Amino acid sequence: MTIVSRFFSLSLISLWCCGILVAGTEVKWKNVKDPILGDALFHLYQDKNLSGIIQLSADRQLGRVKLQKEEAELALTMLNLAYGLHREAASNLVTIQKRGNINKDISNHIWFYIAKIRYQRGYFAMAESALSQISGALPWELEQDLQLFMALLLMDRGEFLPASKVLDQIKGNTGAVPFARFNSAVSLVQNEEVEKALATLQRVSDIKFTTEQEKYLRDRANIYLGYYQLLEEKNPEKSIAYFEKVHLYGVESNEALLGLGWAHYALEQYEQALVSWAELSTRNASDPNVQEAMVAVPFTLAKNKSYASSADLYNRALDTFHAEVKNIDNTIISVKKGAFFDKLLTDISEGEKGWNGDVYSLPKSRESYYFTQMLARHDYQEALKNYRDLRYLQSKLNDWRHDLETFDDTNHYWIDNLLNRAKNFAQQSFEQTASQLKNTRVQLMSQLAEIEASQDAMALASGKEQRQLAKVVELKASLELGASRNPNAKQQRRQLSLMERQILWGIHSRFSSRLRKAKQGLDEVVSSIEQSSKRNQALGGVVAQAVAHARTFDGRISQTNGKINGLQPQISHAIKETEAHLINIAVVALEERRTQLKAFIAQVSFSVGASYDGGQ
Amino acid sequence: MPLGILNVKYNYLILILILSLASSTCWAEELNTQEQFKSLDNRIQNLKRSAVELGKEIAILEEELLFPANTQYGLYLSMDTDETYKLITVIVKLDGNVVNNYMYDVSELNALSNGAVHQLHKGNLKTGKHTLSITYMGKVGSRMTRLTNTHEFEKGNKPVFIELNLSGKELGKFGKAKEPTINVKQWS
Repeated sequence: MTIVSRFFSLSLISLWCCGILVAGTEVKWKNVKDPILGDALFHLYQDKNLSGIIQLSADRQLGRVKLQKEEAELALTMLNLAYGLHREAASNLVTIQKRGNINKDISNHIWFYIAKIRYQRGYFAMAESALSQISGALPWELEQDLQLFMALLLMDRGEFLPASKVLDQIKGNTGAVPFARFNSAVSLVQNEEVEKALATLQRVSDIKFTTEQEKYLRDRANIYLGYYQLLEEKNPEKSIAYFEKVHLYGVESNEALLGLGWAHYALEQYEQALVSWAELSTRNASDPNVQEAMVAVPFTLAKNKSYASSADLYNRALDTFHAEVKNIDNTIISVKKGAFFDKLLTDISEGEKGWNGDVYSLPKSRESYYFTQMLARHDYQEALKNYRDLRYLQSKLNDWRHDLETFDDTNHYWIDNLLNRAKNFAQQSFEQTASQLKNTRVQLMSQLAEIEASQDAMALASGKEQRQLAKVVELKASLELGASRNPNAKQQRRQLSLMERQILWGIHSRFSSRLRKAKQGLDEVVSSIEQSSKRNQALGGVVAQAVAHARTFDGRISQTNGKINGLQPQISHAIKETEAHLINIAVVALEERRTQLKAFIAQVSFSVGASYDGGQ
Repeated sequence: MPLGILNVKYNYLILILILSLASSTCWAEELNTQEQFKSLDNRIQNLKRSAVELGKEIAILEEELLFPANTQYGLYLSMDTDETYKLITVIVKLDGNVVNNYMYDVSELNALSNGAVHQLHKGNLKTGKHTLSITYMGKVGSRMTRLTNTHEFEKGNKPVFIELNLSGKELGKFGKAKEPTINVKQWS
């Protein structure tokens, strides 16, 4: 019974865990004032968990969360939880709890959720440790779930009597109660308290289901009770009543139809038996129940002396079984290639959601049938999730590498741009020009000193004055050349001399002021050169600083690239290991099924021979 | 009554039932694969942690390189409206240029109605005055609405964050649903 009980509990856990609340929905966020917290919630509500964790962690490190730091920490806990990083979530929660600023209802829900993740991954002791953190008065539904969970943990440890006692405490008819009753029956069977187990199962058999899960439970209870009546109590009439309660098109109907057929057979109601099995024979031939029905029909026909039909149907069944063996062989080949997992996974991008994401959807193919039972196992589901998450992370690493290339290009563009700008005011060429200017100034100062010493006013005459003076000299010369023929020569000579004196007077009268201004001008040029030099030095410093800062990014980019290069092979290796793990489980299961089928074929071949013998 | 055969069949049936009910692998083997899984899972969890840490480093690098604090600005949208208002699209113009034209889907609207905030735009700005012009297109009941809001702000040397909050839960005249109002919050 161990295996059967194990099946019961496994099936129920998987069903029960399907009904869990999605992380993040249990905490109602009100009065969100900090946009960074709001942005994290935007990720959380849409199950963009990996991006949410990364962005919020970065924002926290950059000190961007200003208004609601504690709430942001809680949001990070929820994101970690939804992504499946239960250790981080637990550690965050412990920190928050130590500060004492968390509502007990919320922390209880989070601990409960952490426990469920751990349980599904097979970390039972850690799951118990998470459950032990739950305290205080709990809402009714959570209280029920908690007790159910405790009982499952006890059952996993083989402590069936305490498990049964815990389950008996769960009162009512809704929520976790049908699951509790079913599991209680399993515990009682394990404890060899069959009568009590049957009574408990009877209550599950009678429930008015409102959900698919309850319907499934009710069907399973009826099948269990039906076979118990048929095989143990030898009471086919009673078993028929149970089998007929199972939904004809539910997932459990194949087993029920098979049992129903055998119950009618036991009552020698061969026609009714054939009706059940004929219906079952039309279903998926990969199902052992269908395979058995395909043999049960000719077996019954032979019983009724319809040997020819019986032999024909036996042969058809054998053909189907041989084809099935071939299918299993092909599936093993397909699984070994690893290609089947890509068909099985819903979408690699669901890896963004992590633990919360949908993991598989069975493709419409014959191989799919063989995977239904494997996929009911938590470790298989979790391994498949890991496989999907790793594949997603692998693609994410490629994206990040591409991002880093863009960062690197941007940074180098920025550095080149800075360096180009710096060229325009290159300090060295500027210093050269400034030095030349300073030398010129020294020469000019010495010339000015000479001018001052010799009081050479003409040296500082303006261009206009010099042109005017030259013109007067020129006019005077031409006047002298034609003076003999010019009756006004005398008067004109006097006028030109007057003009010359006026110009010279102007030049001499402005000499001191011009000398002072010239000196001042030279001083100003020097001061301006010095200021420009200082400014240029400062600017050069800023550019050098900016370039040095940009170069630090260079270092960080190459360091981060190195980390990607380090992580990439580890992830690839883990993908291969996970794939090998998944393939191994699948191949072992498929090979066992093939062995069983071959044994069945041998048995049926013997029956065919017997059928022919009967015909002769 | 072929009881003998039937019993053989029953035994076979039990075998089939048990094997089909239980995992195909034997119990000890299953325990072994569970242990293998846990060992592998532990390593995978560590790899995930490393990947998260790496992602964080890259996000920080991106922020510091592409959106330095002295030029950074961020624009966020939050909603505090009832179900009568359904936001469809938001068009953001910054200094006359369209920088984002965002259409919301149902999951995003659900998130917004539960207190989440959407980062509409992030970029770099020079110091000085800037103008944001935002157009919201949505539905109040079955009526299409178009609201426009202009906001001027000064960018200094610190990052600037602006939150646009659409709010309004009251009904207007004759119980008719009102268009939401827009509140702008800014902080650096």
